[in-house]
Amino acid sequence: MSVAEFSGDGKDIVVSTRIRLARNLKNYPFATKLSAKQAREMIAAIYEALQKNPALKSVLSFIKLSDLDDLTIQSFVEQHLISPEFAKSTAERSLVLSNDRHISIMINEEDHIRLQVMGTGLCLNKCLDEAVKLDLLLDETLMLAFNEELGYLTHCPTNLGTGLRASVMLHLPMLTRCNEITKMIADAGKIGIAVRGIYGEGSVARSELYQISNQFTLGFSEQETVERLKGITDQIISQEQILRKAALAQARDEFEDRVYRSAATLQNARIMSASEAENLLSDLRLGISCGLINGIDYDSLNSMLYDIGPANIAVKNGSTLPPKERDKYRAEYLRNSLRSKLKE
Amino acid sequence: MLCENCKKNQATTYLKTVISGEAREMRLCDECAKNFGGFNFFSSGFGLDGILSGLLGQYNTSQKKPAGINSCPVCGSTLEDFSESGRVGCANCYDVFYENLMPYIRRIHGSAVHSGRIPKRIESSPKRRIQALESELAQAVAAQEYERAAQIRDELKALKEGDQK
Ligand SMILES: [Zn+2]
Ligand SMILES: [Zn+2]
Repeated sequence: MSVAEFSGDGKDIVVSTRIRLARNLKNYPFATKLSAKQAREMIAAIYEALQKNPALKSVLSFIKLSDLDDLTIQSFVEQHLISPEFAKSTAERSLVLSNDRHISIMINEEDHIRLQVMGTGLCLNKCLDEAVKLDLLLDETLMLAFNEELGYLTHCPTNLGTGLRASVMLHLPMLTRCNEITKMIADAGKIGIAVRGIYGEGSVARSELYQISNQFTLGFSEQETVERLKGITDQIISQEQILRKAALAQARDEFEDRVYRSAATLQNARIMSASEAENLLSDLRLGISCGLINGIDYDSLNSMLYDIGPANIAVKNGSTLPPKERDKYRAEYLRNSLRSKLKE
Repeated sequence: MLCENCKKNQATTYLKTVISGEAREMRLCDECAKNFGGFNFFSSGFGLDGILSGLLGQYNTSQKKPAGINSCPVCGSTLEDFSESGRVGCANCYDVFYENLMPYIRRIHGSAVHSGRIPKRIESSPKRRIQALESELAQAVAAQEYERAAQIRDELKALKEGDQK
């Protein structure tokens, strides 16, 4: 399994792709009714199923969440490897992570198994193929809860059927700034696609990033779900591209000014909050996509988005860092990552 | 008390909300309170929660109990539990409360028949094999591949006889 496998096109706008499958074991009650003893048994059974494939076993880490400190857990949330709910839960939980972090399997989250495959750029089919491989492996040893009418049975009926949530994270600065997002959210909703700001409510997304995902899981096959999502994603991308071209043509000076100011701040600031960094990196990404900035690729930019999270900064520089110190380390990290690289 | 989200600023706001069907109280700083929603990043419905509680409200008023059954014999969940949490207690609940859950499931998904992958044990069941062969047979006849059609017919016959034993 190489990193390149989980990489796709359109990285100027598509930050990442995620495929999630929800699965439950037939012979155990769902999370809210599961005892600690049952949870431990179930975790062991799932470990065993995953370890049947030696090649896979060698790249997976099996982690008991209670063995991790809070900061590490929080840094996993920032990297989208686990959900905030999973991080906060006090139940017996386990996490199975691939060394390259493209696979993460939460055991005993809302469903017994929440299997996620994540890639960079638009790579829905590649991620789905990998998720299906893992599902087949689980299916070989485990009795998965399934019903011919309702599909894979899940704790919450919103996930019945395929249990599949396919999503892409898009960088949509121009649609945001032109106030087109609200309309887009409404249009997408009509055809069963949910659009959400990453850290914001509806129309105000931090760093102008949005998560586009399917709403329905029952009645659509995995392939149909992914194709519909791909279709709407392509449309959103082309709208964003049209607006970028128009902005460059009509207000080139203002556009360039904003991008270069942000780049200058990122390379020189001494104190930087996470939210300021996210906004500046948004401008930088836009600048790269329009050919104003060179010298850094989108993958590096993506990892920076994770690295600047408060917990990630603290994990790397000392867990007892007060917030102001974190802001200093963040500024230093950004200077080191960008200075002497960025070219106009 | 530090903000539960960023663990950075002083918490100033109490926020009561429904996350994944669960009522929760959170202590947040001003900045995070404004940005609240990040919590739902992974949540099951991606924004469906609002719709969900709306539906559950409707569902409560027209609630009919299945005759003679108040709780799931496997996990002990009741319909009241479901309408409070939006979650069932175990896989068996979907059978026990089938009649009550189906209208609700149809309203969420707009459809109520699974289409997509299935576990191997079900894919290889005689019933599934017969269904698959029957559609193959229809295709072979339509394409006038009579030799193949005859083969499939033999296979079907054997399967159906085996099923009756
Ligand atoms: Zn906060
Ligand atoms: Zn039950």
